[in-house]
Amino acid sequence: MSQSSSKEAEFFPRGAIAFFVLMVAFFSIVWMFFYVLMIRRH
Amino acid sequence: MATNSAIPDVERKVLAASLIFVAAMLGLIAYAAIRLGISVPTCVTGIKPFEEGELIRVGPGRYEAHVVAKTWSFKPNRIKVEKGSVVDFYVTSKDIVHGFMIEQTNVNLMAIPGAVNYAQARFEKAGTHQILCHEFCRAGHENMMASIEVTP
Repeated sequence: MSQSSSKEAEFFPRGAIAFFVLMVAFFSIVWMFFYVLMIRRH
Repeated sequence: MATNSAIPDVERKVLAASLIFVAAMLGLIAYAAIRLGISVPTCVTGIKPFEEGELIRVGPGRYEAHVVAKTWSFKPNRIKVEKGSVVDFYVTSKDIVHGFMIEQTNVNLMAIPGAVNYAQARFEKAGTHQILCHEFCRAGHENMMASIEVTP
């Protein structure tokens, strides 16, 4: 019981954080591409 | 985790990062709109002559009718042309999708916001043609009509 609670306390969602960072980075690149395109065409 | 109700530190950071990204994007959009004058695309009905519907005489027996539909009317509401006239219809909508059908002719168009549809009709007989909205556009649709009067 005490072992499982200590494992829960140590748990860090590395996969979720990595997914989030990659997702934000990817969509930032896509968003910035169209934003810069809009500025250049103006 | 201190308590069950508290937001974990990791989630708090993720939320903060998300908010920073949203704020940055909104800031960039505001910068483009305010400083650079780039605005969102407008509907074609915001551009003359589609802002206000009108009948333009382009020559003897030739007309251009710029028709703007909106709930629940057409503008111009009453078109008057002489017998034998050829009328070019440019039809658009200011709000939602409407229909534009002139009875006893082949003119049967959709009035779509942001788009202009075209049809041509020749009016050989004197009389009155009803223009009807034949696309259901909410309550009041049944009263949406106009007319074309063809004078001898």
